[in-house]
Amino acid sequence: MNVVRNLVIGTIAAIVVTALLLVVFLGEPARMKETTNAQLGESIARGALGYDAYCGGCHGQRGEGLAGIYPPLNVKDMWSDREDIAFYGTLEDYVQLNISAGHPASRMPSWSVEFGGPLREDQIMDLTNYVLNWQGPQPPGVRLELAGPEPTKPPQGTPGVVVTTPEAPTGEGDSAKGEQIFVQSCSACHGASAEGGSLGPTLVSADQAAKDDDFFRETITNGRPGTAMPAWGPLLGAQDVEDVIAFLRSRQ
Amino acid sequence: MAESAEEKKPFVEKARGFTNEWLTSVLGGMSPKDMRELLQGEPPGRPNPRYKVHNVSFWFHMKPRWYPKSVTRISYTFALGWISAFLSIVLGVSGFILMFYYTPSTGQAYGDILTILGNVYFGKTLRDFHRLGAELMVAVVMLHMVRVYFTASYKQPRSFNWTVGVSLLLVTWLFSYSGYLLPWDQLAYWAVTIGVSMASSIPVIGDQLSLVLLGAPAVGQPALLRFYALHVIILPLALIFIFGIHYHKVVRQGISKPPSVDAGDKPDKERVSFLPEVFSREALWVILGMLALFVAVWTFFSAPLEMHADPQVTPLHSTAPWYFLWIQGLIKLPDIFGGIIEGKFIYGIVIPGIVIGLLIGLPYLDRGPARRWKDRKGMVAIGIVTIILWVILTYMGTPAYKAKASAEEEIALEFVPYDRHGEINEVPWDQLIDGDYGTENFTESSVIAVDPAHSGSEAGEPPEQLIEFMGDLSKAMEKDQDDLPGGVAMVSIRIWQRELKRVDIKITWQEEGEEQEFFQHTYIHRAFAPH
Repeated sequence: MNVVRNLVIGTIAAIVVTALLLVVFLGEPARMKETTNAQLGESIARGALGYDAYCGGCHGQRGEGLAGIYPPLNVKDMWSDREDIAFYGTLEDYVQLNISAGHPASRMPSWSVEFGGPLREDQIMDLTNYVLNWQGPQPPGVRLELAGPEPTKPPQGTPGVVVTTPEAPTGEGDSAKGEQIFVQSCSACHGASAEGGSLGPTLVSADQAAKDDDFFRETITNGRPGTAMPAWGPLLGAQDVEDVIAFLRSRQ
Repeated sequence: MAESAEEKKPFVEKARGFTNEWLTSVLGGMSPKDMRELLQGEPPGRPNPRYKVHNVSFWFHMKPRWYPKSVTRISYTFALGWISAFLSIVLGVSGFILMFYYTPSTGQAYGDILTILGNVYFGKTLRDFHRLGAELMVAVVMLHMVRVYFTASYKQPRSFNWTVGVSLLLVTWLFSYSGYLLPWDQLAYWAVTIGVSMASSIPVIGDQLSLVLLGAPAVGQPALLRFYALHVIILPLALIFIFGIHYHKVVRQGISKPPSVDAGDKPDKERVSFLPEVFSREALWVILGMLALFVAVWTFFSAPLEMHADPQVTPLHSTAPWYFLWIQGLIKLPDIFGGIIEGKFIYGIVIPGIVIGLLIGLPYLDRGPARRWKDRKGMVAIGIVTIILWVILTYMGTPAYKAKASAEEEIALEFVPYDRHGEINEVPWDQLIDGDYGTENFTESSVIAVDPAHSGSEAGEPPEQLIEFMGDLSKAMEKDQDDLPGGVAMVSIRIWQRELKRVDIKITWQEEGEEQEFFQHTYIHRAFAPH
């Protein structure tokens, strides 16, 4: 064992370690900034997935809202009312609060686990970051029609889709068609097979089965005041409502 | 002037005497002259002043004054025990610093990790350092045990120290496993959920035991706090205590000599002093070890961090840490008791328990004095078979073996996953060109046909990585022809929001005469897409 050789190599290695530490130290501010940006990007991307699961059913896949029922989120002055109510927090706080605690006197439910909802704090933050990403200029080339394959087509009622006016049903309800409509319009809240979801109750329980068709017709067409269930009358034709009921009956 | 010089002389002399005295006490009994000789590589005088240090200094008294030359050969011990001690100090220091930035609360833990990565100088270095050190520690401790087994160093008089060593292995596993939960991400949450479900499969006491471990029926806030306390207080204390015994025995009994030397085949008269030979070598190793760890975390090693823990979302594959994969592999074996006793209990608790029991009892079961391979062929064979079995079981524990989800889910997970670790995440941002692409009849021109203006990252260049992505997807669909007859995958890319793109995958195939469909989508933000 060569003592002197060990000490010389050790000293050189120690100098190299120190020099590397210094170099990395100088690069740290840039690295931290990049990491923080990437973390915000990841949060927005997660928020987008959360939005599709929880929010898009009402506020529209593209945040375009539902005229007269659910406000659009992709507009500039969406959050300007916070000044009217003496809210002193930041815009981010305000959006976060609206999602967490819901909006009094509107159909917006409280989403945070803190207020009985299904979402954790970090999920609310992701949604907030995603929703706020609509503020400010949007890139060219955003297409309103939905991405990709057919089943992700927009729920009926989004701008650009012809709205059928209510008319008498043309026949018996068709449960296969009803399923399609259900998946598009109802499943976001009531679950993919009507078993109930984060927001909407189950529609397949014995209780629900005992209710008559008129109850369902009324609820789907005009909504349920005091709950998050909107009126689908303006969006679905009478035949569509029959189809959905037929589908529900087939599940019950 | 001359007068003043005369006056000064006694003072200089006094100062020199004082300095010598002070240095001698700092240097642990060596005079500055002895030290100078040591550094110049000169042989020590007699009596050896360098041995005195081991009587005087607290730190040096822990080290032996000299070693038989035969045990200092690297190819004999590979210094594995030394490396594990070095790593535990590295882990202790890096973990101690990390503690300042971490709160063991389910609401904050994950955010704290993000802060460490994005808002702390050397934060990522520290976390990677700690994680890499932990992985290496487990590996090195296990290799250390393998070395001691094959050189039969566990035999008398070191039987007891072997059992102490096995308990250090258990402590290391628990250390690593309890640390696994702390980032509170999906990986952590599900790995611990699976692990504890094994404990709860123990008949009679299982549920109570799981309640004690988790503090609640499921992994949650109480479990996080318990694992944290285990990780930062209880296990460190246990480690220091048990390591103290282990190391004391090593120094007292000496490192076991190589079997050939022990048997008298080779002479062993030479000694190597700790000061300066072994000391200078260990100091060099410390610095080189730090250099290697730093280079590893700054070049290729990055501690994984999955999405925030979510009890509602079960990942498609949740794997145990690699050193527990052999248990996961065991669990996949067919149930032998026809469901009367849970397979999880037999394979997850009883068999690992027997294995550890055999390990602890090894020196008391194999009592013969033979240490050379040729004298203990049976034990060497058992060791090799055990390692082969371990490797096979470890492979069986990975998702590659018998844990496949349905083919369409696997393909969607591999190519367009929710969690940013898929092939689509390797396509640069500029090449994610708005359009629909199908695996059916996919050619290079079908990308360019979508939007000739966007024909690539730079004007005019074809989007190579997107084309490669589609090629790989086509191959994957072809490979799964048996599961997905007539399978076609459609990928749609849309510009979605500011700096955000959406990617959908739709897989269609024929099954029992009907067309089946599977969908998945994800979003990609410019900030985490490659450029």
